[in-house]
Amino acid sequence: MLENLADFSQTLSAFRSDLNRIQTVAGSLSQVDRQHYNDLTKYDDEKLTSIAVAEQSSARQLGEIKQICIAMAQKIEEIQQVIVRNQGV
Amino acid sequence: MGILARILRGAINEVADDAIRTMIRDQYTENLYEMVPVIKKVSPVELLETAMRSARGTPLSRPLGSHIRFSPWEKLLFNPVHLFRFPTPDDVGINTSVRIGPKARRPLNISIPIMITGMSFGGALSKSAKIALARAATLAGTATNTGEAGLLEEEREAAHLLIGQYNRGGWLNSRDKYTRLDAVEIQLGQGAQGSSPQRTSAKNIGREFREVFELAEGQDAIIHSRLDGVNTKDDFIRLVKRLKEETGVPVGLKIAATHFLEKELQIALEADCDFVTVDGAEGGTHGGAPTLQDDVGLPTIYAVSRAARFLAEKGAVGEVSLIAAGGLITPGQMLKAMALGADAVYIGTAAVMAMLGDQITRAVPFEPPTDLVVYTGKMTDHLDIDRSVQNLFYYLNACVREMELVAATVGKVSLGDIDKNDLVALDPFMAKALNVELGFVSPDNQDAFFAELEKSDVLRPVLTVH
Repeated sequence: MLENLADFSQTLSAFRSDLNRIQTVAGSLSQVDRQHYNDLTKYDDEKLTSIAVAEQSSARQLGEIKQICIAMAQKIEEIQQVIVRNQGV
Repeated sequence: MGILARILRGAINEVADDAIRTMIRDQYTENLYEMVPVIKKVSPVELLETAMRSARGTPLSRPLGSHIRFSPWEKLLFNPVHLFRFPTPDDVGINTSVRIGPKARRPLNISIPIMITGMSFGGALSKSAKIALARAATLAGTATNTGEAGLLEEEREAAHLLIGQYNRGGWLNSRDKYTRLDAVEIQLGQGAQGSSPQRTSAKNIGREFREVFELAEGQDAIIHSRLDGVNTKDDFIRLVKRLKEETGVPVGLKIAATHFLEKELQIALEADCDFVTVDGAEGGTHGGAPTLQDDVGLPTIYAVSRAARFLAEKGAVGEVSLIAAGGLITPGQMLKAMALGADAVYIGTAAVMAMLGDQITRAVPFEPPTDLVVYTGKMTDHLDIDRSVQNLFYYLNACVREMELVAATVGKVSLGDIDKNDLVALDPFMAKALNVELGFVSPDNQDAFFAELEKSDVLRPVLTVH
């Protein structure tokens, strides 16, 4: 049982690591999309502006993914702490 | 000056002189000028609605809510920073995402803090309008709301995030329907109509409406004043518990803002609601009695502030999300509602107007623009869904961008971080009521100013009215 819990905790650590990687990538991509918005709106072209608006919205949605990942990683950490406490008992 | 111009000028002069002489000499009761003081006493809206009531003998159904601007949003301003605190650097992205019902098993995550409010298919809007709202919301990464309706399959398909109203008509209240939602909003009232009963006559109900609402032919669609099975506080608590267990998504309460707000919210907290929606008196509707719109409820600005303060006192901030609704049209108003404590806002009238955008030319000048979107409208076939999606998506994007600019100037990195300290009030009573500092005097002199005001003979009767 304890062995299973240790495996589970390691799996959770892997998930947390992946989530942190995803949130970092999402944050970086969000920044890139935001820069695209700035670049594309310089040209005063209707078509490019419509692409820029879509990029800006994508930036926000990537920002949302980043926040979701952070919240999930925190939740996993809480679960891991509970496991550690139970193992201590 | 040409001959024609001189003749015309002379004629106008003659007519004007004659009119003035008549107005001066005629008895007031026989004088057309009577209309001027009458219109100052009875506004054009009141005058026409009086005539409409006398023509029909039944309550009027006025679209889009009250014309009265109850919430003085213009008396709040944001405080830009320069050196005392620095503005947010240009290259820092502003976080605009919001998590509704953070304690739910499956919280509702939205990319922007603006959601589309409950406007029902059939009872309010046409199917094409509902689909356009859902598609635009999805594109912007936010949620739309069913309103008091059944589950419209096309809306469910088009909306990535769909909030459904567990409603007083009972049309969405079966497990097979509400388990397909991303959040459940128990609708006990709305700003434009309080908790009053509503009826859609069978003559205005088409085949699809009947199918979605599961009505028999010839049957009216009735919204009761109470939710079926909820006659006590404990009934409500049991309902919330059951919906939370069965769905796992955020379950919330929507009410019309009222002076009993805190008492209502206390029950929502006891029921462990994940979110509360407070709909101010300015809330819109497809059609409602003017008296319910103009004379019932509490303005959004005070409702949001009071609800936020109550949740803070109860330690529920960060656990129970507060959604503000009711007459929020501009991004500035929306952000001010958030600064007063709302986590997110709902828009209805603004969303419909934005969706229509340049398409209003298809209706005006002979029909009102709403004829393109309301279920009973004669021009619903003329609504271009793709165009509507783009219009609303652009509007939402522009609104959020303007909010981000305010966040940058007040030195914040997240819209959710903007609070009352970023606001200043331009009215001493509002400053006191909303707990926002007054802009007339420096932060250090606030207490002294209000102490002086209380001593003032001029203002004492007003300040001590209670």
